[in-house]
Amino acid sequence: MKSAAQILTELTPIFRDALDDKQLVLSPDMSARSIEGWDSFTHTQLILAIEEHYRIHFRLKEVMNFKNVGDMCSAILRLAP
Amino acid sequence: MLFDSLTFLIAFPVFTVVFLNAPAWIQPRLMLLGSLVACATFGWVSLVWLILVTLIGFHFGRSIESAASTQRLWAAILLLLAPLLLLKYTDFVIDAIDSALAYFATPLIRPRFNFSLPVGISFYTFVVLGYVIDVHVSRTRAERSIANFALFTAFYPKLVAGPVERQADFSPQIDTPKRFDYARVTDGMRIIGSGLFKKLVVADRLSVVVNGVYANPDAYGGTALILTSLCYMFQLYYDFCGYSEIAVGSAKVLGYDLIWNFNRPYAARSISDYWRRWHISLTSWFFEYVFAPVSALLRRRRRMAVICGLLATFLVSGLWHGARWTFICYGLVHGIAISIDYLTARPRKRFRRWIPAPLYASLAWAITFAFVACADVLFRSDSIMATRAYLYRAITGLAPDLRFLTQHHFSAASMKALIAGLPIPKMDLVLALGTIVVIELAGYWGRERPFRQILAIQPLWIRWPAYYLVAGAIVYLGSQNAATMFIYMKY
Repeated sequence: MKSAAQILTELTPIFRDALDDKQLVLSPDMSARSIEGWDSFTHTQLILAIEEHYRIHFRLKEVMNFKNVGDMCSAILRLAP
Repeated sequence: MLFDSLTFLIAFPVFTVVFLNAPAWIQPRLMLLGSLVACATFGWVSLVWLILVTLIGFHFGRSIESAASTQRLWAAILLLLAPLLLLKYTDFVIDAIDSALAYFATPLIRPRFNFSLPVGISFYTFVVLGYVIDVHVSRTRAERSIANFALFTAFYPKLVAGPVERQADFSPQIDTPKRFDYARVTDGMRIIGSGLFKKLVVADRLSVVVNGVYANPDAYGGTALILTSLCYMFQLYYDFCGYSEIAVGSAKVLGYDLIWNFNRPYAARSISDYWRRWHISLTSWFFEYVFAPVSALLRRRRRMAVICGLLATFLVSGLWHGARWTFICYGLVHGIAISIDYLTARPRKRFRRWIPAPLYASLAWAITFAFVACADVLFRSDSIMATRAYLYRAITGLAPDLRFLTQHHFSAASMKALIAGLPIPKMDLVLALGTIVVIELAGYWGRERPFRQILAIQPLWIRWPAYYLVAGAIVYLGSQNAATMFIYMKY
């Protein structure tokens, strides 16, 4: 079983790639409001990349309602094998 | 009552003084009353539609929150969209049916309704739709006060042509007491001044050449047509950006913050970058409420989900502008372009490593700019055939123009001759284009800190002459032509 910190480390390169920001350091409270360039378009690309990386499938309402990186980590922890 | 009308220029300061000096508890009601009266100046029909959409939105917001049900959401969406669809697209659908029937028999002459569109309906319908969806997905709480909700929908600075605000951003501002704040009021005035300048001095001046050439493009050569298409790009941008700045500035004076709608869109280096900078409030609405659900629903199809989401988003965006095939094609063309942008993101990233950064940036900018210019011809033309003819004539007309210039060794006289027939005095064209260069350069240098904020901290002897210069330019150089209606008002 992975820890939230481990998930956060794994998510960092995915976020850096989608947001085209090599210096980005993720924290659980980061959200679309606090990260420049995280809009609906990037959000979808992030979801696709995360689902592919972990081989999981989020629920639709989950995808629409992620409020921050921490929410994503919790959902991944729940779904990832 | 338009922003650039004398009525607004008189009514706005009077209302502001009364509003900012009123007791805090009465301010939201006063603002609502002022907004409804302003809406009524466009005719009672506009007011009735506004009230109707507000009531539907308020009712369904409460109802969906009390018992989240997909049926209620769909009922709200249908009821909210029905007036817009009926008023905006009925004749278009009848036309399309008639055209289809013409292939089989004599076309049926069906009645046309020629509904006039209530002011701002395309904007506030989407504002309310976004609110209802947000309540459904628990992104926001339903508004408890009908008066506050009505103000969110009807707030005059954003009523006619946006920005398309979110309830979560706007509503918390309603009950905050508004008092005279020198820094805020002067900042708002500077934004209004900038908007009026862009609209009256640049956009309206350019509208003369654009309207003249588009009325009869066959009479002009390649250079004149290309120059006109550039003029139209900037007319559209300065007209709508000017409008948005007056909206944001007026709201700021009154103590409210609205979204900035533009961020130097013609500096974009890709189509996705362009749409992050152009009509930001509406584009983000479409991405939030069309792209996100469509692509999320189809996401097992991976990249295809994103493509479908993008095409759906831009098709709806094109249709939103009006019931015309040119708008539908405009949306599709941008949808295809942004899809290509998405699909080629990785190869472009690799390519970027191989060539010098300034060269890559210039190349990316030039391609994006040229694409947007061509797509805007589609946006401005009356039909797809007219767009084709315009672009064909502009491109094929370039070679003879170039030959002519070469024969005359690129002399100033030969360049003047190429644009001699343009329906605008040369000085007006030079003034408009020169002003655009100055404003765009100021925008480039003011990326980190806007020019108006730099001006605000200058000593009095710099600040006030600058204000007089802008005010004088608006009064003396403001176009006196009749074509002063804001372009986005008709959508």
